[in-house]
Amino acid sequence: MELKVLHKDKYIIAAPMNRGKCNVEQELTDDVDLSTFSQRLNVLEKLIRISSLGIDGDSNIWLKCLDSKKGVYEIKSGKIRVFCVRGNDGVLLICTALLRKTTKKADTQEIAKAAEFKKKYDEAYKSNTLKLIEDKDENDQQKN
Amino acid sequence: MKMINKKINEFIEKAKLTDTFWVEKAKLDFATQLNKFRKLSEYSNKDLADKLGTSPAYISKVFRGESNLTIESMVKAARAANAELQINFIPNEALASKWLGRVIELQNHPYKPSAFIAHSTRTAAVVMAANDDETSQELMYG
Repeated sequence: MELKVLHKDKYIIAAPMNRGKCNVEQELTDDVDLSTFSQRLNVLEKLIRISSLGIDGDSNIWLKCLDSKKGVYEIKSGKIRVFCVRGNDGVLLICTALLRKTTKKADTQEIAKAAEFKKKYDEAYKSNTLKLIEDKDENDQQKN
Repeated sequence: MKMINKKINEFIEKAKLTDTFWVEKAKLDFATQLNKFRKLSEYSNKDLADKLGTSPAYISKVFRGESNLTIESMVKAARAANAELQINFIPNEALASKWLGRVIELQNHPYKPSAFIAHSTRTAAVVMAANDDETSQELMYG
């Protein structure tokens, strides 16, 4: 299983890779959809702050627990919803999907999908087949 | 060392050129501060909502950074959480660099008292530090 690092501070925020593509990363940084620009920025800023603060404490105002047993969370801004599950070790959150929804309640199917992903993630973690993909640090690139 | 995903880094750097980025940042800064003082006051979201005459759902919306609050609403929210709203402007990188440059020029001036120069350099460095500038960190901490 491959995970793309979205942000790394004290903790890592990552998202799954599928055939070399990271859908959550692409959706977040989409230059075409201007209607959700502010909402995606809001979600990104929250992810960056959560990466620094952790899940508990001050950042819990941005994380809504959708299913405590399955460990599925949601970060929301307007119609943008990012579904997340907790990772292990330094990986704090894995953003499993980004949806554009206007309904008030979170989609139960998406919760189930996130929970299913969490199972696969735990198996990959146990079998040591997890691969975290990071872009090179800009400062390191400059030094080289 | 912080590491940011290249695509996300580029997206944020572009966004920084827009007002939208700074509006969203300010909303979350306000939410963080309000939540901090809510906790210090040992209030629940409902307590804060009651003090403001609003609903807990509205408070959650403010915390999520989804409300575009007026200054009046921000003052009221801060006061309800036993705090006072303080508004600070900090210079952007361009303005801070310009002033730091002038202070460094002064450092080499033969007729300026050294104490004044040290003070000015430090002041500029403090201002720059707010923008996370490496030069200012060096000036402040040597």
